[in-house]
Amino acid sequence: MAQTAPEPRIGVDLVAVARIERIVHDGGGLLGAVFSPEELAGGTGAEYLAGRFAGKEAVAKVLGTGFSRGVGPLEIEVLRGRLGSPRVRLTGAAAASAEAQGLGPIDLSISHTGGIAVCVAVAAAPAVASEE
Amino acid sequence: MTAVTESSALTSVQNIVADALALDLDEVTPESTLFVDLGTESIDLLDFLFRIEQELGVKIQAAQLSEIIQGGIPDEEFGTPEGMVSSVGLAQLKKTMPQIDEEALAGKLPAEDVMNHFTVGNLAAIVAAHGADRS
Repeated sequence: MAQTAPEPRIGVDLVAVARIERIVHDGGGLLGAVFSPEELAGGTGAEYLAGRFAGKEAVAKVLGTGFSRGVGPLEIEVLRGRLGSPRVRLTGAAAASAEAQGLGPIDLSISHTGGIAVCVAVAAAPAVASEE
Repeated sequence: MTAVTESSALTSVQNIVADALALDLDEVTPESTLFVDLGTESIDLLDFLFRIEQELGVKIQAAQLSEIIQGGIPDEEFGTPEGMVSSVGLAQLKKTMPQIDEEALAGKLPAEDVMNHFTVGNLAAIVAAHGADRS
């Protein structure tokens, strides 16, 4: 029985910075319901947080859950890694989902332009056995 | 704490959605679909639910929504292997989204498009149901 190569699992998301700006400006508790204290310690500017939220959504798409199927935004953290690059930390249901699916480490790339933040997330999914 | 009635839930949800999306109130009708008509994004849904909890004391997590809408029916029963909503799934959707036309959608509704039919009124009904037992 042959094994195929691991296939990449990809998620992408766009977030309007202005939308996050309104949330930051409102000063309500929504930020704390979406971003962990460690994430907010990395920055609280609208453009920064828009990129981080795009990262959460992109990872949620890699998991195949979005935020309506058992995984909440606090369970997908996009933290500052070495040299400032983003790194993903999964907890709770997000971690369980990734483990159940046999996903490899999730890598992210975030960019901003024209008032939009975009993030692409990639993970390796396990090889699938196929009969020849 | 008073129970949340369907009428009060609808009024509150309309106001919350309009405020969160910076829309005029008359653009947010009970029949408006959140994701298609009103252009709701994920962050907006989280904002609606956060405000609903703050203003009405009714806590609904976004992570629960699929389960609420699917009525706890497992994915393998809710959808077909081809990715369409099954007849069992459509019958369940009719309970949480009574406006859908089961006959017209039979065998034609991709499971990933279910939330495209989710309206302001549907959200209000879920809020009312979750708030009805408080007294």
